[in-house]
Amino acid sequence: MRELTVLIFILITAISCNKKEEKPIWLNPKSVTAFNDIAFRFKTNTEDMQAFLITSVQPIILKTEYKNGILEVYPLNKGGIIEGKAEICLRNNNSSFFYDVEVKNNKKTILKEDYRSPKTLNPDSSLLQQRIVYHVDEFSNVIPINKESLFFEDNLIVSTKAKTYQTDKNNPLNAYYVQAGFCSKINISHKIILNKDVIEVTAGPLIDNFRNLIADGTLVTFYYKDERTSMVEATTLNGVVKVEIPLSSHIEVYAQINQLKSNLLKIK
Amino acid sequence: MRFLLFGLIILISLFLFLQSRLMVKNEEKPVFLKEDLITQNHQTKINTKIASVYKPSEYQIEVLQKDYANIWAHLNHLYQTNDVEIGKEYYTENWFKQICSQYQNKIDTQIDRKDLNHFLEIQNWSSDGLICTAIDKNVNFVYNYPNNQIKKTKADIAVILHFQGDNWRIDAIKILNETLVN
Repeated sequence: MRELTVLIFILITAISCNKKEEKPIWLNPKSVTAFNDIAFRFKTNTEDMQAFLITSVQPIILKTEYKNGILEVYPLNKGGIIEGKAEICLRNNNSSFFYDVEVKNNKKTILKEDYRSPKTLNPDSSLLQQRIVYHVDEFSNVIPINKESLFFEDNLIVSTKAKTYQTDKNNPLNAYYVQAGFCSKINISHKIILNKDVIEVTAGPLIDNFRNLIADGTLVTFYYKDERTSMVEATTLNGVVKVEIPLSSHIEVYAQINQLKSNLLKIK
Repeated sequence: MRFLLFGLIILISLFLFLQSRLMVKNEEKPVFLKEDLITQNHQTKINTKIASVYKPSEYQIEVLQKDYANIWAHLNHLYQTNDVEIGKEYYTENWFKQICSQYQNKIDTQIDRKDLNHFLEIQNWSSDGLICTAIDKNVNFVYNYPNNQIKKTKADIAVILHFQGDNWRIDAIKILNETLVN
């Protein structure tokens, strides 16, 4: 009988030790809440509970305050999160308790992303450009463009004017650039500089088929023939290139860019 | 003359020594040299459907599938541990900033999330191969809770991915719906 009493005592002690902690009662449950407005209250006897908000991406530590058997939880940092279904987790050393909640952001700035491809276009090849549009907020949530669609795509014919275009002034990464095309025609002119005994030959302004000045640094070769044929090379700046060739009694000059030749200039 | 030469050598040596001390040594290996146990231990099945105007090549799809699986390996790890840094090679700058804005410490949520399979429908593919938008349909998740409870869900997820550096990275997400599965 004595042994049985001891056994019963041990059993009761073991059961009481393994007794599960009671799940705190959520006093102000909400199915949907704004993250910054989280102020949940739980009835519990456990003071030292930790609280987290587990979003679909990451767990976030919540601030806890315990007073008179009520545990209150708040966000530590205001700001934003990945929206959607989440769980509030309350935990002490032994147990974790989970509560479903849907969390949204209070305020969000919608960033309209307009991605262009290719980023650099040349009017001599193609002016067709792909545009992909999507909206996101500053917390990396995809925001629908309208009721039907999350993303939008089309093809555009961009302007032939060579310059850098910005689809969004605040986002330089969304910029694209139309280059000048190939030189369409070379016109050359000359000026005799007697005190230096040279002829200054000027080519330009050099433009493409769309009246854009050709790219700076384009190599222009000048061929001149007096008693023999010589050449001199120079690069363009702002669509113009100048070279000086030795003065002679009779001279013929022309300029060339790749296969394109200028008019022949005869200087006597 | 000899003293001048010695003086010059000492001066140059001192300069080089001080310069080397000023240099910040970055011992972090590039991603392709790192052993990533999280992605190695992760298993999922990814099927793709191309609904975009520009069609990626088979090789591009292969790369996307591999990187997308790695992204989810790190998202599951982030979900479980709040370790924001370890998966940074799979996050864009915006994404990384966002997850760091709510970071306090690492946390062990004790919830093990597994993504069993994905059906990635590519909505847009940029012609330069640097942007991809997709709807990941019927993603099957299994959550193992600390009390041995298991939760199974099915979700549709919109994702925006950017190809930066050597791999695809997550830039933005929207969980369109997530429902319990019996």
